Amino acid sequence: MKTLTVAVLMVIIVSGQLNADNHSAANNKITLHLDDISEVLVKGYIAPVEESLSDTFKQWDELVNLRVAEPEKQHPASVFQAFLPKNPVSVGELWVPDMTGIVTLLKQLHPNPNFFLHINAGDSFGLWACLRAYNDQYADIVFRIHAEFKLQDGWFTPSQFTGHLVIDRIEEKVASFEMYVPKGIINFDINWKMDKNAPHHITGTGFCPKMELRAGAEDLLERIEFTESISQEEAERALVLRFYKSQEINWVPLAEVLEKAQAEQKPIHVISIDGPLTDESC
Amino acid sequence: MNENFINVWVLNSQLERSPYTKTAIALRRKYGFKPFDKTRPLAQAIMKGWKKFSPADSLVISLDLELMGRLPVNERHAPYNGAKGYRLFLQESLDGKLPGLREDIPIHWDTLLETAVESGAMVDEGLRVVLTDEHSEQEVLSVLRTSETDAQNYTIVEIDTTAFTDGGVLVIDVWVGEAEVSGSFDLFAADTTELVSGNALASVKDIPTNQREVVEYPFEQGQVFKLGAIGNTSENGKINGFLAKISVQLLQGKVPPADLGQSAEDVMNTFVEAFKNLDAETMLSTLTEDARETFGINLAEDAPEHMRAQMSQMLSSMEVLSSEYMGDEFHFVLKVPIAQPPEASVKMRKVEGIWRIYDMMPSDSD
Repeated sequence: MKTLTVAVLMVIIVSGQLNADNHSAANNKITLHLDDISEVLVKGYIAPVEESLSDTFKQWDELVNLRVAEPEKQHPASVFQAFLPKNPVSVGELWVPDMTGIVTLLKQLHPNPNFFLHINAGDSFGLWACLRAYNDQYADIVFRIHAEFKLQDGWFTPSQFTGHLVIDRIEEKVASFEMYVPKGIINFDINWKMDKNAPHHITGTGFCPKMELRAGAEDLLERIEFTESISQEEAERALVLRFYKSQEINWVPLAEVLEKAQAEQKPIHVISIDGPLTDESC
Repeated sequence: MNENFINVWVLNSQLERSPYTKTAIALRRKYGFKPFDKTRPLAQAIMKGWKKFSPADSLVISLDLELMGRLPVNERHAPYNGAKGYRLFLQESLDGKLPGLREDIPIHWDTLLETAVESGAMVDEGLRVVLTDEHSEQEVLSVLRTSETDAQNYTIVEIDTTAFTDGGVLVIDVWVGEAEVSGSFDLFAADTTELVSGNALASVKDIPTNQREVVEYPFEQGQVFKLGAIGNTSENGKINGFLAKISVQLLQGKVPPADLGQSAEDVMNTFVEAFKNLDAETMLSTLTEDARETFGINLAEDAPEHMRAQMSQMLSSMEVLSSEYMGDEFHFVLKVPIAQPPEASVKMRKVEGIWRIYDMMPSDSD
């Protein structure tokens, strides 16, 4: 499939159906609101990536000099409304956030965000959110967003954007927000038209130690005791399953494979690959 | 896969397969990442399985860490292409057939294929496919032989397309197997009595080993055809396998009859409206056959309705920025909301008298 050239145009792919009852620790549904008048100061940061690049990509000035577009910005709370479900939800429930609000936040990192990933293996597109936990005062939303940045001469595709939005349910305000590209051996993919007349991009990967947006108290989540919750791992698992069918396979960590194979008397199926099967970094 | 295997994916960088610079490795270690111990037996088995110069490999490894199969990512061609092909690779690995690892072992194809025919595992007589609206594509796996006498020695596949009363295009995608004999394929009308190449309706000649080609034959009314497969070599008695994917593509069935009279602008508008409405089926109907194969269209059919509605709402502001005839072609530029770059160049030309889109490219303003 020549997805490289056409993905921008038309590939809109998500998998699975909204699952209203899945992982529900309780059937208690809550409604989430934000007021319309408050503002949220969001700090953004992109760490230099040059150290992680191969020599070829170190010649790409635009990439080497990639920095956050706006280190600080006041956003109206309505921007964060994009993360909230339109209907009452219970813990573990998933929904699709509103792209148009989230694109505003992504633009604080870089002026040209793109949800329609230019390389799409069939399951790349999408953004999902999950109610992970709540109590009487707070609600914790975990999300996963696939988006990339169009550079002048190519593309910068992070593995994913994930994070938490903690809502103060009483005040109806954003109590804490973080959206970041998780660390990994590699966590972004790059496609560079080194020569503008070349028919193809050259591709590579790299590691960005920090690419994030933050607002509010960073340690708030650690201090909250929720009354209804699923674990962070459960939320992440539910989210990744919305993207990749391959995650229905039981992938075993490399260090545990041999022991498990011996225990179950099964041969080992190995995929040796440049990038993770669980994100967009390759 | 969960039932039959312990599954693992490993990054090449974890085993330092990729040419990572020292500073890059140091940076990663600074953030707590450690490469896997390459001296461990499983690591050794994986590294032994790597194909030279391959960027990624699938491997099957036994409990005693012997390689049972290898499928390099760039060698996923027939019969190991697609999901079905991957399952075949896994199954052959389990069956001890050592897929991908037999390169140095000479295979006696004549014996192997003749044995397959004698045992009934492969059939070379009475081959027949019946194509209908519901089953418009079928596959035939058989053998072709070189001529043992001066007369032709075809393996015949009868193809019944009588269900297609309004005609169509018979498309036969043939892949010739790995034995040394190249293959030729001749398509005959059912009533052709003398099956020689000169009497064929359409032919492809001398398809080399492990290569594929396509025979196409438009017909106005459904009928029965005979496909003759034969080996090409001066040496008689040789054999090779072939796989024929036989299908009928509708001219006036799937394509609305109105399309025959549509202008390029009509087709463009149909495409744009279908895009806005996330109507993949209609979008596909505006593409050439090649474009359908080249450009995958999946417009979130499985997505929740409200998500599709959100998509559709965003795409509602999509517009055609420009359009013009360029010789025999019609080109237009589309503005796609939120996409980067936001413009796409779309090209159309007439196929069988109908305007169809054959290319779509993001427009790089730079």
